[in-house]
Amino acid sequence: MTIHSRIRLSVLALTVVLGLVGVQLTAQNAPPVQRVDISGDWQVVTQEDTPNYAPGPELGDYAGLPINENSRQKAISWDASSLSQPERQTQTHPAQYIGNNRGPARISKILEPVTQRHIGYALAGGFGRADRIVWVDGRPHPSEYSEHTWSGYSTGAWEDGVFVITTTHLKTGFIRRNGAYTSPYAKMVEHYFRTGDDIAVFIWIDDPLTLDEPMVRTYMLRWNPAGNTQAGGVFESVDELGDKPLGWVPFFTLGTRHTEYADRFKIPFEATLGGAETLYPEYQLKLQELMKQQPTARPAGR
Amino acid sequence: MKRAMILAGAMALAVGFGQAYIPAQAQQAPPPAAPPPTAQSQAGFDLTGVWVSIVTEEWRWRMVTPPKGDFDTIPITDEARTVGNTWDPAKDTADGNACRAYGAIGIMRIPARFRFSWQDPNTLKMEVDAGQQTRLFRFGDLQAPAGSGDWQGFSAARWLRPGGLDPAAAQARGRGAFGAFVPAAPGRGGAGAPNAAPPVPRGGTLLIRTTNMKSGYLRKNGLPYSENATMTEYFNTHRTPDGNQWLTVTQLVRDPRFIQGEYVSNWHYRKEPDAAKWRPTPCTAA
Repeated sequence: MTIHSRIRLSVLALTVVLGLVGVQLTAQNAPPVQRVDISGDWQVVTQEDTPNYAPGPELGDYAGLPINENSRQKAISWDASSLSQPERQTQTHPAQYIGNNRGPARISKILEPVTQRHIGYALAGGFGRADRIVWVDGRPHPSEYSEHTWSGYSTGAWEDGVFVITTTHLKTGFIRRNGAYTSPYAKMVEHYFRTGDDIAVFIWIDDPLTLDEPMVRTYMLRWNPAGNTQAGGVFESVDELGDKPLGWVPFFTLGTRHTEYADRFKIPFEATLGGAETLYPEYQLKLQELMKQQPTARPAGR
Repeated sequence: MKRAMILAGAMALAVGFGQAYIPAQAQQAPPPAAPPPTAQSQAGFDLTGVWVSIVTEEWRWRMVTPPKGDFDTIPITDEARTVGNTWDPAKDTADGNACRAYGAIGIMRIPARFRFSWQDPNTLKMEVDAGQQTRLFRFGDLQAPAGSGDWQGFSAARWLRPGGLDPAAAQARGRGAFGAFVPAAPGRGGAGAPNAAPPVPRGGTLLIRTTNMKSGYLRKNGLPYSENATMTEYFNTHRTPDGNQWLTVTQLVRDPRFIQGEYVSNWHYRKEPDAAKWRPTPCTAA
């Protein structure tokens, strides 16, 4: 190699090195990708709205749910003993319920085995192994004719640092454990706001068949590094119906008035039937009118 | 050929080295000090406007005044239960304390409309139509005034970046949010840098710490919190597929006298197009 060739080679090598340094410094000035991780062991903070989850809501308590007449009719006829039928005993809770109930106790990253690229999250569902997978690799949702499952089909992405899960392909399932339900056409979107060791979770469910307007809920996860979450227990099938004949279907007849909840808490029965108008502050004016007709009712809260 | 190669090499050298060198040139002549950025200019999201409570949770404790002694879901002390069972709304009204359930802790769960605006570039104002209350969220290194406060207390506010990262704390360590390099400010050593504020990333959280509150009620049925209660709040905004904008507020309340550990709750509000449904009403004790 001549001296000129060596000089040329050195100049080119130096150029490449300096170019890479420049590109690196430029990259440092680029806006960072706001991809906030949500993996880890978590403890669900269960103070909010507790009775709806443990021990569970009362029959006839649909207040605060924007359900329409379709969902209300099914809810009124729902009997908890239906979950004791042999064919339903091992059924997990649907995502539209468990998603706004206990939440995941453990969220694990799913990495592509060879490239280690982050392609999803596994959300461990403790109760009845209502596990969920959320894909974050940009894949589309399947065809509308694809199978619907209890966990549905979920994809996730970050919006301004907030992790957003979109779930479709759900089965018909309850949104409150007293029969208020959504259809297979429901779509659920969850927002995970991480602030240090806390995640506030906001859930939005829309369903043109059963809801007058989207239903929203919130709950809280707190980082629990010592949680050491184990696999949740699966349900076992045992005889819970005693002498009931095979094929017996538990139900309340259409038109049943579940008045126990309204009577117990002295709330106008009409208000306990839910519906979109019961969600707004101005409904308290209607409540005041209803309470005038029901002297034992409580004052409206405003 | 030789000249062409030398010319190409020189151009590549200039392009590559220039990217690294030009910022360094700029750093050599520090511009005049700019005024510190205001809280309003550092906001990762816009809270201004009117938001309405959507009461889908804790309905029977919010839309109606619950019976005396119904303190379900809140981790209270025995003393809180004892004091709560002495609730007398008529006495509260007569004593001028009808607003005890409308203090900073209780007001966020009351079905209402909340109007946000900037009182000044470092003070965010939140008005509530129910009870006609006003909370002020003050940014900057301000201390709570001495002595007992009012129903809304003193609220110190700070913007956090997505994930809960504190840009002020990160910059003090020489690293920005998500590890991005933050040049040290002139006069503080380090490499030196232009005194221009870095661009504000979208999103994040408004962190609020409230102290100096008058003793009030967690619920309208007289469940108390004391004047020593403290509250941390996270305010987050976001959009849903139907185009609506939401505000989700997380409250972490501590009160050694009336709460065991920490009381955690979340409340959500939807943005309204205007103030057409704004309906100021006075406090009521029952």
